[in-house]
Amino acid sequence: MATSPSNRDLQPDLGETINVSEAHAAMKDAPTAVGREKSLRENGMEAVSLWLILVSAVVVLVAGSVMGQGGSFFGYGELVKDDYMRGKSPVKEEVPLQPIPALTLLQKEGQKQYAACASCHQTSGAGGGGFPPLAGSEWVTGNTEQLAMIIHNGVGGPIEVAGNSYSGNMGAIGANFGPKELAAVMTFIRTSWGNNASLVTPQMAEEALKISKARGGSPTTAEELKKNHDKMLPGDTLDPDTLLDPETWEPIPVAE
Amino acid sequence: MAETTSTTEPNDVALRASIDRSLRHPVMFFFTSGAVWLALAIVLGLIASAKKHFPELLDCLSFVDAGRVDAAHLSALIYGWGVQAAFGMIIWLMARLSRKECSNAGTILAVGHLWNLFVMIGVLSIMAGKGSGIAYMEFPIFIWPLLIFCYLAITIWSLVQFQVRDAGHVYVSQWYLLAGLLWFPWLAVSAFLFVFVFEGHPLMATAIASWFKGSLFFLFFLPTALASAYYLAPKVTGRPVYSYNLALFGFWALACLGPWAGMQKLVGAPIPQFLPYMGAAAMVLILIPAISVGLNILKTVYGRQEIVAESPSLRFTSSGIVLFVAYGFLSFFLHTVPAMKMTQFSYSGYGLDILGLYGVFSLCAFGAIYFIVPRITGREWLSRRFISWHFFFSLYGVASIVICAVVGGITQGQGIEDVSQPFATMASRASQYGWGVTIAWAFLLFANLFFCLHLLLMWARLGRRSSHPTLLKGHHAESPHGPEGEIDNIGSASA
Repeated sequence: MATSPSNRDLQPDLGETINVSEAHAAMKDAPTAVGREKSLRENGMEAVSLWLILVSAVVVLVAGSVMGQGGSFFGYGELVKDDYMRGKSPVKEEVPLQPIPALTLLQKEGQKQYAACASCHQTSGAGGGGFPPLAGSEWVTGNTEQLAMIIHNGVGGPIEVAGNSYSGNMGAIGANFGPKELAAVMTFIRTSWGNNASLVTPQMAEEALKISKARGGSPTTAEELKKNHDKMLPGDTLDPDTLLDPETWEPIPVAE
Repeated sequence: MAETTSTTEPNDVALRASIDRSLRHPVMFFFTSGAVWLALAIVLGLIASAKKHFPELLDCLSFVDAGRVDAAHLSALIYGWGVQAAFGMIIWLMARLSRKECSNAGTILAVGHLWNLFVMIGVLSIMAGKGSGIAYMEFPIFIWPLLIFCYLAITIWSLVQFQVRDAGHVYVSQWYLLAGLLWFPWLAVSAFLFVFVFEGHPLMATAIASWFKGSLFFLFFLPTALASAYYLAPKVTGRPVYSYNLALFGFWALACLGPWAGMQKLVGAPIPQFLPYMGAAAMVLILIPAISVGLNILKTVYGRQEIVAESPSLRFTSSGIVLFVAYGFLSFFLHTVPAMKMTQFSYSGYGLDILGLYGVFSLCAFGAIYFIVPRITGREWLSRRFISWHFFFSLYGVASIVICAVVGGITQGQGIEDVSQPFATMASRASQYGWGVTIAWAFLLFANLFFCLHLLLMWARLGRRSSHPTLLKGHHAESPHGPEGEIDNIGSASA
């Protein structure tokens, strides 16, 4: 659309050979842009240069190397390239801790602590040899406060368990338990070997430790347990399926 | 070639004028509605890009969700702007080159309205969450047969014109036009059938959709852009095309390579392994037609830099061709095996797409529009400043998008490969480049608001009545007629 006035070979659209009035008649209704257009000329016939062919050859070589990565042509069986996997991380990845249901977590920890009890009460919880059973024991499955007092302080004097009488001679096995250990071992014995009682939370166990501290520390007796401690420990109950953080034992909120 | 003489015959002028008159309504309609779609696509692109690094933006509006707005952006860009601009270029160039007036302008105009209606329904469906979810074919399924029908009803007349032309040499632009015209229905119908109709493996449907995306550019948008460049470069400079042999070589190179491109997007996916590597090899080989065409067009205008500087159509077209060469080099480097592995899941593919669609196709289309519109409206462009702003903001905008996307993409790819770092490190590194892309879209928005306004003013026949073209460099003082506008043209005298 542009004309350059400096080029003599570019004639204006209306050359001297053209009758001006005739040309204007032809353009009477025509837009002027059409009139100043140049015509297309015959194509130039330059040969394709050698360096273009050389550059093309290099490009073809590179393309060939790319294609070579693709395995055999029309090989419809080859699907996934072997090395097309992400490398292994040189740094050990920290696997985030998975939340665990409350029952599983407490039983797992409780089973560890129960090793201290198993020498007398047996791993099966059946007792024997002068030691009372834990499986089916009303002291275990009953109120949690008296169970906590027994574990934390031991028992002295006669005690009736599951219909049989035993002479209480239990040491303060759980004297060094913290709230987590106490809660875990209590939950473990209350939910194993056919026992099916409620869970004990660390919060409940903490209350138990306070009561025990107020009590003094001497072994309990059956009468005292019946008289002072025949009740459940205070604290909210915990659903066995609640997901807990395995480190803090705090419940993890779950999106509905 | 039909027009072989270099002197302008009065009969030629009359014929050109009558061809232009016969086509003015459909061509102007395609260009203006295309420009409006382009402005809309850029607004959507701006939101889509901003969402990538600032996801809270507009999160109360579900119809501009990240997924929807991105799909709507590309669909509006391709089918609203790209294909419509191509329609205008194809029907005008084919009529001019075949030297035939168009006798079906009414049909073309009516079907053009339908095309716009269907694209609008498609874009609204995407934003309503009813899109097909297939990349680059996001419109709901029922839209596709309608669009293919519209395409045929719009372009069949150009094939007819070519068929009934006076026998003679077929000019380079006509090769490209004819090829693009026939390739598009093949691509669209095969992609539609294999993706939406036949029961195939969904992974293969994805692969075919990515083939469609690659081929749509190489076999439709690119041929149309190159047809326009091969027409305008000799036309505006008044010189012959540099080399006929080179033109042949470039054309057949593109024709042979184009259909293979596209599936490189799925490298590493469990589809037959040779398919993505074939696609990557084709993307590497695209450098050959890019250099050939670039050399041919640039050699044609070489030595006439003053015309390139002052003519808006040639300036846009030459820049589009330079960017095509840049596209070839970028494609070459991005599709070598190590680079491909690095950049596959990054911004860089988007950068290459935008370089093709905006940098190559749209700049050539703008060049064609700046040439065609004064001829069909009989008015000159109003403001050289608008054209100049459109040019520079477009060029800087598209360059910024491509540089940010490619460099950001490489950073992103390195971040993903660096297994000792968490994913968030990579994301935060890449987000800086995301900001760059968003700002560049704002540049393009600015450029195209001026373009759209300018074109709408021309459409409303408010263009300048003058015999002097609107040039980007002042030549008024040297003009034999004195300062611009002093002597008005015969058109205004008779109007």
